[in-house]
Amino acid sequence: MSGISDTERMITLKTVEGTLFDVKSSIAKDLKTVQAFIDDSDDDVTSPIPLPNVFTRELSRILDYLNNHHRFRSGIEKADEEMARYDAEFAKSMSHEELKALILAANYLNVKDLLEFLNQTVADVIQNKSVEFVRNFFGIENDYTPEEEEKLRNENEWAFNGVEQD
Amino acid sequence: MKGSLKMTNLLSRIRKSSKKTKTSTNKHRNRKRFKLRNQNAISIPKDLPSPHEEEDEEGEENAEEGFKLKSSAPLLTHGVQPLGNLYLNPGSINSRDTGLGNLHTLSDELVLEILGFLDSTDLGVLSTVSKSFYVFTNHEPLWRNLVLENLNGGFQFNGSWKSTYVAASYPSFDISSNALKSFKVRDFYSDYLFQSWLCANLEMKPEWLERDNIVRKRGISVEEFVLKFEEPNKPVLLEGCIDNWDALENWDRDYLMQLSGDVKFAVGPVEMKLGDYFRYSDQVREERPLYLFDPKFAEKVPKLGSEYEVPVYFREDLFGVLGSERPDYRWIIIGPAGSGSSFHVDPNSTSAWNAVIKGSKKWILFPPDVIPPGVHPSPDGAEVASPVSIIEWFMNFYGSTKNWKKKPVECVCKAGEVIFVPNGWWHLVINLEESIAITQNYVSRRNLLNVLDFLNRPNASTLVSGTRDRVNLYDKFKNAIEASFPGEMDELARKEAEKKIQQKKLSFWDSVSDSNAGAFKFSF
Repeated sequence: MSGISDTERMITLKTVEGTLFDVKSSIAKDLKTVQAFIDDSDDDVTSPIPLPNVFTRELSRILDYLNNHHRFRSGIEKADEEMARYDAEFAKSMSHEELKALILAANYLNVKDLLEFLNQTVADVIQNKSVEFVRNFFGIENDYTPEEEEKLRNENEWAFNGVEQD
Repeated sequence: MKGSLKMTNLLSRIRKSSKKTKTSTNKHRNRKRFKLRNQNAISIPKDLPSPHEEEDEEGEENAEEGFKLKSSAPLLTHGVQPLGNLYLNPGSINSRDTGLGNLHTLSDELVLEILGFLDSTDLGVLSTVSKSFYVFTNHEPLWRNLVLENLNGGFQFNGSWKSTYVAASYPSFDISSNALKSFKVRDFYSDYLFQSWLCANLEMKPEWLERDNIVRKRGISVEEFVLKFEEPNKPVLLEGCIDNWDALENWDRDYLMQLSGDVKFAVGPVEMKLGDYFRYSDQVREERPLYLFDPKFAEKVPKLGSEYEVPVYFREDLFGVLGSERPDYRWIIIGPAGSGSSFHVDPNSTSAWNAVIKGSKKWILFPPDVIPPGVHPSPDGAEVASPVSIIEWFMNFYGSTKNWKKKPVECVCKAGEVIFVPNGWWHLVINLEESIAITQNYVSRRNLLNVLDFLNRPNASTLVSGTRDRVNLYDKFKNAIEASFPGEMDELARKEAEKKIQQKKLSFWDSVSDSNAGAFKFSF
């Protein structure tokens, strides 16, 4: 059982645009990259920690996610349902571009649970879709010759039964 | 590093978030992939075996000699080249990126993590999207996870993990005639995937095997062993002490197959019939081959248990007082060349011995206070992040140990030899050929207090391994020892305290009477 904050220290993070975010140390723990920086520092970290790869929009979303999840976890019973609903909304609220940007930020900051959730979200988009859909969705140029593509389709015929037709 | 953030890119395992399967060797959770360093254009050294797939239509001659990697040559299983080659080719496009579309900004690891959530049909369909997707969706570890999760141990390895999965799951599909031949792509550059192929195909370099500096002893007494090695906690290689084992004479593949070919043994996260395991180990060519490592082999096949005995040096084994409630303590280990264990410390603060019955193993050991390069234990010791594979460790870190003052202890342990691994020592083991071995962990009086301390730690429930009843192990063990050896623990504690006082006295006199140093030495 994680200890109740003995000293709920605040950590300040600074995004690319220079925006400052005050974050509770218990939340900062989930940003493993930040936590590693704090652990490695000899003295207490007082000045804002710069995050050269993270934009305000992403950090704000990440902190929102973490704050909510912490709230759900420490709260009462029905939290699971609420959390699932929150997650669904969270995923839906972003465009594909924003989702990708968030993945990169979560990866950089090493926010394990969120990253897993985001990757799952992208996987959900691709799941059970046709080849054409995937190409269009991600803007992919088909670099197979027609012969190559047919050969490959034959080799993977077992996979094509049951998928929506192009 | 002050002023900048060190980017730690811990690669979570590429699998669906599923149950954490526990094996006795699975002490590593997160693994770190180290990017290729100092390597731009790669010319593969001569000792590298040529790719194992059949030659392509153009009839490139790459046979026995080894070869140089040309920037346009589709060489590897799918033609993946390291990023450095791209930079040497001005104007060249990376088909990895064009084929991923706007996903290309994600790293290889992230793309693979996403694909890790998909099932086999999705992967099969996606392979036809673009050549880049072809390479990614055919990444063998993805298919290995699918096999291990869905087929458990009941699979017949069929050349590759993908082929194995498809053959088992779509029996009506004719695998052989539509042999999933590897398809070569051009202009695909990726360090991660290249490194993955490289590690799967690299053999141990001779210079990695040269250093053999362990102390070797033959026919010493138990007293001498305890005095010179167990007490001071130093490793040693013991020769000739298992000469009388029936196992040494009998155990080879045929014998084991005859005895227990259909018995299921623990292999990584699953259980497999021995015959199926050998079928796999004969064909496999991957970075981290599955390793047969079974803690219940003597219960499963009593004859095996009867054909060996604990060498005389290790017969004092205090966990024995717990009877059937003792943690896992003995394993049979079987694996192909390249299999092994990357750096770890044995559980519960126990010591161990490892006897090679067939084959040979390379060992690298670091003392408890020296963390091996490339290894990052978490502060509480519960997690160890270390390079993905043993080969990768050798490629990236072995060289740096040459210049260290605290050199590791190294050796090659051959059939008939036994190595003693003192408690707390970091060790890495790799099989140089197919090997069969037996290993046991144990607690003697020399180590008893350490073990009790370890079991009594506040986070014992996560650290203690090999038993179901972790939290109570400390109490149970302590009580059992007191019952069987009344007063022993107090006696040991007393001796320990006395020793500490002696040491303090010595260092005091050391500092006062040291005339060589000239200056007054402070000792705090």
